[in-house]
Amino acid sequence: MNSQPRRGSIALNPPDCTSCMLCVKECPDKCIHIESHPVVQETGGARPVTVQYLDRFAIDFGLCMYCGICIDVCPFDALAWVGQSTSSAATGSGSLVHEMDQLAAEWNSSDD
Amino acid sequence: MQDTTPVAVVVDGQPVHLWAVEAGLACCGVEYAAAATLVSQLQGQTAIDLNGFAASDSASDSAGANVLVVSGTVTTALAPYVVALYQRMGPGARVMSFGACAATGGPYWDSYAVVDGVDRLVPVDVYVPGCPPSPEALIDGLRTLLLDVRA
Repeated sequence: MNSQPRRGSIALNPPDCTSCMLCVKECPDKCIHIESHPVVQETGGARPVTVQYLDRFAIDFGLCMYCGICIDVCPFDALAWVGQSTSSAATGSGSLVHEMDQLAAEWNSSDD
Repeated sequence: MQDTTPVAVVVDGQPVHLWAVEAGLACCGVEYAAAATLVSQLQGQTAIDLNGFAASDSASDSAGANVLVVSGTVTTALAPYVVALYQRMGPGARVMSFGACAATGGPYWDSYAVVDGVDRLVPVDVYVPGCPPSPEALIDGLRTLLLDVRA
């Protein structure tokens, strides 16, 4: 799944994303948008553990250059190339912004 | 940016003819021409077949075209010419935004000299994403455009 298909798109597996923001920082034209909030978990240890809960993950494919840097830098392989051919043309600029559920559906539809 | 090219597209077995005028403003202009040539070799894989891109003599200027393909970075200096080109086209003309720069400004979205999206100047019917878009994306854009025209 992580091999580079030349005509692919980029998909997200939300459970693997820790909102670390590395992809957002490395994206050359800032087309990835992440919103998250901290959640304190009582794990029974010495201290409670704070984790980031992912609220929003969106890629603006109107801006995206399909360079794949976000996929390369993701420490948890939450991003991957999917698909061999793009079916990506949109009739409205807003529909080029793929939200988390759409990115996850693209991930789930590609089980190769 | 005045090359009008015939694009014969087959959708559901029915030939549809588009006359495309390309505003090739940057590197995507080359990519569009290359993709359009390559697309004719992809026939059989898709429902769409582009024939030709030979020079046309019946619609040799933008007034006879019905699709404006904006491919490349729309700088503020060239913006008036893109608008003028659109206004010279007949009523019902469609606009395709080809590539990230035409859609949103792409990597130059924050530049003072670049229009961050050609849809700020003219109404856009279909956006083909990519930097540059692949030939398959061009096919998909044409298909989307034609389905939109027919609807």
